[in-house]
Amino acid sequence: MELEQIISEIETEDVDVDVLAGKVKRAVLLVKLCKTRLRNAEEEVKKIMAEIEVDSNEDSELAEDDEPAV
Amino acid sequence: MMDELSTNKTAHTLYELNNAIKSAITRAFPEAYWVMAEIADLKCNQRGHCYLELVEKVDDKTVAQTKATIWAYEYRKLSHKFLAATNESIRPGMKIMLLAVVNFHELYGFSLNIRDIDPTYTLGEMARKRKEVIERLRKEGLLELNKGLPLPLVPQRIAVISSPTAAGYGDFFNQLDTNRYGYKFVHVLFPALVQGQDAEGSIIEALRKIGKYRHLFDVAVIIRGGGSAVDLNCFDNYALAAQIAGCPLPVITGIGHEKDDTVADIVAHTRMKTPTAVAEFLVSGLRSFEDNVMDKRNRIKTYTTRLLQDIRYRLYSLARQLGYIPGQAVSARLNKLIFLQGSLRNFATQRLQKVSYTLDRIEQALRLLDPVNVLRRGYSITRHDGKILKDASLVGKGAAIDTTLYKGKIVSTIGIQRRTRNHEQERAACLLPGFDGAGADNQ
Repeated sequence: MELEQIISEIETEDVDVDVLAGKVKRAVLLVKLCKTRLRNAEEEVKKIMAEIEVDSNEDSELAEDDEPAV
Repeated sequence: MMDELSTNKTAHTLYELNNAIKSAITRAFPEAYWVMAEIADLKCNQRGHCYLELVEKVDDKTVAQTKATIWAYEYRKLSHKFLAATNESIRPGMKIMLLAVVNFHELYGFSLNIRDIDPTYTLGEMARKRKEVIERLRKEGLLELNKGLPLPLVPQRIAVISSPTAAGYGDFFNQLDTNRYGYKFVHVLFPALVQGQDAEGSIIEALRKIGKYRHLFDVAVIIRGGGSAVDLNCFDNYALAAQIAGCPLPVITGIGHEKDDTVADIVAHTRMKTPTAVAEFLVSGLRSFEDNVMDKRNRIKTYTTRLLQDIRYRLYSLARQLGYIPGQAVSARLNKLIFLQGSLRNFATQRLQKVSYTLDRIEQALRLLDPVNVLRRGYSITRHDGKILKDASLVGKGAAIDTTLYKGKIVSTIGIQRRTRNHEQERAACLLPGFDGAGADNQ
């Protein structure tokens, strides 16, 4: 987890104030990203559905092809 | 009877024969007998009478087979008792111990009429079979296989195996979609039968399909409505358990039963009692992730705030030191300067006073010695031929002398001379030692 890394960096190393500012900025971004990901999944849903639908179409075609033989 | 038949050579009706067989069997098997058998087939008719096919198998080969009946009245009683004890309904494939009356009917032939079934035997059989399945899975390294998969940090994409008609199905999705933290889950249903004869194969097929889409999901969930605890046997079967074990995604079960874990539960990554509990587990997974993130955020915040405070304080004190030290240095030097100035002034004043005192004294002495001041006191200076006259004998009668007074000069001619005593002359001479020249110059 990148956040953990940031913590260990700023807590154990003697960080320059400018570096600290950069790291804190990054941490804030990561936290925001996490919170967003937890509450928005629309993109993920679309992606998964698209992939499964494509496959299931192929499946049904295959099934139709198989049927006469069965 | 046999003798009669053979000697008289009289043909009997089939009914007579069957009736004779019936009497013989009834005589030979007068009681009810406990028999162990496997149910090969079971059908109930509309009136509630139950017709079974009982078999005995040795190494999967049938070595004995008999028809059996349970009359409607008995069946209602027995099936209840059996279900209560085993959580299973009487069904094909099951081994039972039954109390049977041997029966031969003229029309329907040989059969066993079942009067009682001992569920403990079936329970034992089931436990034994279950134990065998578990042992086999252990030997094949399948028992802990799915548990070895890491549960993703955020189990957000869920492949669900269930039947849309199953109880608990709606609860599960409802709980996931309306969780109080507002987390969004991606869930895709892979429909399967979760009870009945075809459940096992159906669930296995769904698991295979999920395996194909493993990259799209974080976890697989098998749910089956709570409430009814019957027909869980498919979850104890080897083939399904092996399929779960081999699933490339962590499998979470919510099969909805109170009895001991099924084999499916045992091999699954995580076992929950009900579909609702599975939903809670998933929500809490996201929750703990978010808590973790927020905890990290707070730690960073606290630490950064402290660090900035430290830096600010350090800066502040540094700034103060910078402002203070020169002030101190300057004021120290200034004090020294002021002190020096003071002492310089004192020193100068003292010196000046001393000098001025000395000067005053000198001035006074000088003033006393100034011929003018001497003249002021009434003394006079007499000159003859421009030279100061100190001895009267040096001038004769008729000589002119100048007398200088404090104010003005007198020029006179000597008429009478009188000798003064020596010591008075000396005193007069001593009065102005060395001033004869100087005094003359001053005039």
